[in-house]
Amino acid sequence: MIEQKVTKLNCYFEEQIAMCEQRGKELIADERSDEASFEKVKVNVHEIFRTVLAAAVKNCKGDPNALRSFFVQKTEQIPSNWAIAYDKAKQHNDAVKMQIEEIKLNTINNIKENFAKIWEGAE
Amino acid sequence: MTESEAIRLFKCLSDKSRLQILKSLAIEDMYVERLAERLGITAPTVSFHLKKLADAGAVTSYKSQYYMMYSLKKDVFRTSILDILQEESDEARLQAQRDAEYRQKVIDAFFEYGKLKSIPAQRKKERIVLEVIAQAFEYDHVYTEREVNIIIADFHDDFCTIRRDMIGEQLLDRDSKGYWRVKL
Repeated sequence: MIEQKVTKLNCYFEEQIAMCEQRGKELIADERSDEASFEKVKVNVHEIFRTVLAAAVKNCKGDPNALRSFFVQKTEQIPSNWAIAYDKAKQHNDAVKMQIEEIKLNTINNIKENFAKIWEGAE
Repeated sequence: MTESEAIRLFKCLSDKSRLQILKSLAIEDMYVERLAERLGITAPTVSFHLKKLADAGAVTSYKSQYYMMYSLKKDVFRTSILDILQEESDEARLQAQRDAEYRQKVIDAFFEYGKLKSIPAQRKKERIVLEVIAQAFEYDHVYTEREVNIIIADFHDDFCTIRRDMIGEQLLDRDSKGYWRVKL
């Protein structure tokens, strides 16, 4: 059961990474290199949490609750600095930094949402 | 527009979304949401591009009721590329500054209390030293050889070598009437 969920989650990460990379290529071809770099940011976030998932699998030793809580904890812990950076950028009206931090935060929110769906077996 | 400002502007313009934003602003001033709707990109992405455009000096903003309106800085776009190319380069200014620093270093090394310590062996350095000595000569004045020797002797005892080298470097010129300082 746990293996199935992990496989599904890994598939989700692979799909998202491939999608963002494809979109990035399209944006570069369309001379929109900054927007292409936003896709790279999304790829990086997905890669971070794919690694977190691998670490969770390694640490939980087959215990689904331990895996879930490890992963969920990291999805709160890691982005906390992104939220701080976003607030700081907002205070300084730095739209460039705000955009990047917002992309990271939106991506992690999507990951959290999809993790919950996959874990609860809704997908 | 300085060279670095031009580079920043050109870099900023080499993006399709930003060009589309500028094209929209060329029609009329707009706010972020209006631009986002028009161009089919998200409002934060429009804000991101507007910030880059503002930093590059391409757009400006002002408050109008509840909205922050953005407008094209038309003066920037009226500058021709030829005007930019004809601007003095920042690099040229830096080069001139480096040259001046080098010149001062040579002067400090070879002069002490207004006296030349030794005649530099390197031609580049000797040229700098001779230019300093040449400043002791007035323009539009013809000097006898004796007068030239006395002036040079204030700097260094070997006035013969220096006088000859100043002629060689075309800092002084001479004919049968005497010597005079060459205008560079």
